[in-house]
Amino acid sequence: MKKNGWLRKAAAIGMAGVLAVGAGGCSDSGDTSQGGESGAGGQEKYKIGILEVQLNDESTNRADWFNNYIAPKYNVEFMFSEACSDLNSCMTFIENAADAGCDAIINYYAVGANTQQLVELCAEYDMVYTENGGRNPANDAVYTGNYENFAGNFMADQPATGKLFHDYLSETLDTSVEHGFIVGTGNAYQGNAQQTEISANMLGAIEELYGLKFDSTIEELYSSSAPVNGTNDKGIEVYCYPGAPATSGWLEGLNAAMQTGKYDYILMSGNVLGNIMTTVDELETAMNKDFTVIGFGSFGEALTSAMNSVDHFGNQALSMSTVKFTSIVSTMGFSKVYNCLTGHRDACLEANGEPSVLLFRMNAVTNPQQLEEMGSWDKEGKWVADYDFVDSMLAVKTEGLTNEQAQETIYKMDYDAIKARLN
Amino acid sequence: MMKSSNSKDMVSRAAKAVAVPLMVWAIMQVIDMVFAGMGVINNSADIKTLFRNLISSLAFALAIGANLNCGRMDLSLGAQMYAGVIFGGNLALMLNAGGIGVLILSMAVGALCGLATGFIFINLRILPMVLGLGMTLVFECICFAINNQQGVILYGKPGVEILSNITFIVIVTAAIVLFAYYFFQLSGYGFKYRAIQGSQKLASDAGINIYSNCVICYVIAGTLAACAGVFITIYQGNLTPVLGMSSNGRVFSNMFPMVLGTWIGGLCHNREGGILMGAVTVNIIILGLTKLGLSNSVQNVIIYALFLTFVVYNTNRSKIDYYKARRARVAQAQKLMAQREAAH
Amino acid sequence: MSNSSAAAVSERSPKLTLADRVDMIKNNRYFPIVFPLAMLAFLLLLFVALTGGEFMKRSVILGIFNQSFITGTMATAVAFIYSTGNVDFSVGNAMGLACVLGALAYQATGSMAVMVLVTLAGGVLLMMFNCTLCVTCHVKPAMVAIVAMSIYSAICVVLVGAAPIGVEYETSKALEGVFRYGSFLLYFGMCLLLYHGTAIGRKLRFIGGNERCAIQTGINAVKTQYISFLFAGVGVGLAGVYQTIRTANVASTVGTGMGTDVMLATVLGGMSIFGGTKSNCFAGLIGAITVTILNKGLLMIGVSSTMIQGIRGVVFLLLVYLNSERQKTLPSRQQF
Repeated sequence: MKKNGWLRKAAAIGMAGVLAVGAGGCSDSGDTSQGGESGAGGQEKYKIGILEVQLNDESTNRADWFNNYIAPKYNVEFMFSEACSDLNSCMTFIENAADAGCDAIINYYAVGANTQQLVELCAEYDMVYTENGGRNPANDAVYTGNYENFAGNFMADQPATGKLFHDYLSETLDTSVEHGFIVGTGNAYQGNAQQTEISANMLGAIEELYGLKFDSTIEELYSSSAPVNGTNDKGIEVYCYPGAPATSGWLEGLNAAMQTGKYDYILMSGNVLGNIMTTVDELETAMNKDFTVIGFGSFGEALTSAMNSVDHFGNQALSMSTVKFTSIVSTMGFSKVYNCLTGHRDACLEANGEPSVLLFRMNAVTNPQQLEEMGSWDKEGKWVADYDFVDSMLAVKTEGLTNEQAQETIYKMDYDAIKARLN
Repeated sequence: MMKSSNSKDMVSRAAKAVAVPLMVWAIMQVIDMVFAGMGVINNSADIKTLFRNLISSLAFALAIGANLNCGRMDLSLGAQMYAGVIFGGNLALMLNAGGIGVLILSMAVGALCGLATGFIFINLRILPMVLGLGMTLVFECICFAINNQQGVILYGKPGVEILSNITFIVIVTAAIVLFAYYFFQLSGYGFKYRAIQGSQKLASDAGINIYSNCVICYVIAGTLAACAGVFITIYQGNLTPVLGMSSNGRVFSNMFPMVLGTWIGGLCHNREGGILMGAVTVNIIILGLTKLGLSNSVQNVIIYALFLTFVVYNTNRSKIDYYKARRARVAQAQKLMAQREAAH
Repeated sequence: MSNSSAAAVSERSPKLTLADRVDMIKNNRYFPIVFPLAMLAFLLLLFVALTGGEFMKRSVILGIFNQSFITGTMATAVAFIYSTGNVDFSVGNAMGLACVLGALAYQATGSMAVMVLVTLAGGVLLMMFNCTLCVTCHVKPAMVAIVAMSIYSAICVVLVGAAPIGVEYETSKALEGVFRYGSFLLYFGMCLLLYHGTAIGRKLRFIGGNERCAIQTGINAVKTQYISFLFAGVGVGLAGVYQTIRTANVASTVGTGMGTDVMLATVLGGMSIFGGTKSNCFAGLIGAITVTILNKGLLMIGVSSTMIQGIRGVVFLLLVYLNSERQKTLPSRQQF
């Protein structure tokens, strides 16, 4: 009897253990690399910490590219963070990465005005640092301060991304009919550069196309943390709705706004397509009203479902979205730190000697066929950023590489160029 | 005579239970009409939203209550919900089992999670709240590890539309309430459950197997939490896993309907029915507030301020009643004395 | 006594099984203190061995202290509340709101001294508000915690609004030195003294053990609990100051989830979250250091970040099981 009791207790502890270990068995995304000795070719081995802000399909794809494609060829090892939700957790990961022997950090968390802090923290541990995000004027001191370990930034060409939405609205919006617009401004009110630019371009397009003048400035509209009406001289209904689906009541609020019957265009600056499409579909049926949805997206099931679904009126449920190729973005971060680690920091500097911001352009996608085609790229065996492309971004492989050349190489990777390369 | 008194009593209790959500609806309706120019419920989409949120609040509140009534606060219920829906949902989608398959398999996995938690609890005998923390860490980790960290996506999947069908939602809601009522109030299990609720030690001495009763509680809680999760997921379109014990938020946010429901249950002598009415009330408040176009934070402040006011009132109700009765007694005595003085 | 009679006595006396011996050890009054320390030392040695000595590097040790500072301070603070049986897991959000108030005060005045004072005062006031709800309004502590968590975090979002509020970076860095270590040592020393060397600590433990009995012996439970929340409030405010100066910025999400981290650290440190006579005020600090060692060590030996949380959960359950007294029936406690 007693023995039985011990067995059960051991089984209970064992069960908890098995549950966790089982989880680990299923997981492969965060594993460190299998080493890159085979392709090392006598190069020094570097260890790079990847600071993730979200763990999703994109980060999984990124980990796959780094671990299985880049690590063996360039003799690098990668170490991935948990999802860092604030500056404190970023700092904690950087300290831990330093202790684990990392030589550089590629940061995907938008640090806003605190770049200097992280650069200095990395400098303390003799690590190179680069971050995904734009140059915030509050961080100017880091660019002019001659921090040897700072490799600059990389990000989407946000004005270009915003312009994709602006152009699409210009091409497709019939201004002879009076439309109403809900502009999901997402986290623009918290300074999210991408959502700011997209919101601004959407509002700008409405202003231009109807020739109207908002009573408030566009900046005031997208930076409001509470929902706000974009009242204007032409009486066009524009409703700026901030926030994200993770906040309780956000979806209900959107639902309530749509039910007013004033709006038929749903323009979303954040990646919320997976969350709003059910609501849109139900309201189309309930109100017998056709809603046009346009929104930022990323490769994955949510975008595929939205683009391939047909709405209550037989139209494509999602009219337009944008996508990016993870491996191109990752190449930018990797090339920046690798160039610094191999003694070619000058390839990361502007002509004036300040660390540069490398930019990439997103692609618009407007139909399921296009999405299917692009969705089949950038996977194992069909990486958009292949060795040739990565080599062309590394100063050790491309002699005399400058920042301008690197930028040009990235800009050349548009839809047609990628298609030609992969075919 | 007896029958008519019983049916009168039943009607009176039912009226008390329905009165709370009706009053709240009336207040919110007036506020929404005045400030937003529309009612709380305007069309079928609103009804759908209300019912879907109602069933998830109800199932979660009952899940919390299953253990809480016996003095066990299970903080891992949120994580069990994630595990149930992500595992069960993906499994059902793989098997093309449709919406009903998603619901059944999610509930089955939820039940397994509850079983694992209950089994570990009765053997390790760690404080339930502490065990909940540990199990949350483990379940969240598991949810993250499967399906490339994408969780489960129900939007656009064939056959899942039934989960948004109002008739189906009403049937499931009724089934949950009836099941919970029968199980906790009428069945032999419920009899023992209530005995344990009174005193675990006495129940154990009386021959009730407190361990199996406890494990069953955990299994029911896990099943109900997963059921709630399915309806949350169908509304949001997807359910992405979380880390860092964030899933606890689900437990905390469903406390209001649970507490309010328990109070209404006291009025109508039916705990499960009370929780149903509590869930209806809270969801009417939420739906009403969203119509006002307030920011989510302001809505939260209002909802939790109401919650706090209710809790303070509810906790001190007996004192208020006592002071009222004392004042009445004093008034009566004074009146009597005045009458006597007048008589003299 | 002859040898034969001694042998007879020895035969008659009950034989102790292994389980009985384990129970005897676990029931020893020093076990809840020694065990967490032993586990901490074990984990430290384990990771030293697994990392080939790298774990003993100065930067690693310093990093462990830096990372456990905030949770450790909070856990030391809440020991005062937990001791009386009040489970308050809203302390993280209270700290967050105190940080926001401090940062707003900095924005208004440009003075770091004002920021420090307002954050401290904010921590104290918010904890006193929680205390009033628990002690004066008689709302169950877990319920207060749930409501307070939600309200404080919503207020943070409303107050912070757009971008996070920044505070002066250079001064923050300067404060991270002597001020941080000095104030922590002062606070920790004061807590140790009050908790283990004065009647206040004794009363707190007594109330946690049996409140009714404590009241009948003449202890003013209301006053004592207010004192406990007051000291906790100072710690919450202080942790808020450390949080602000570590990042030199305050975002609307600051403090979210920290309440449960503090609970986790407290339990790992060997103290019950429902208080009682075996409570101490240093368990939280030990627990916070243990969690940090575990996180850092696992990362250093190359365990994936996804796995770390699961391992942390299993280790947590195991250590709590080994450290806790096994009850004859199932543990329960009415929360509402």
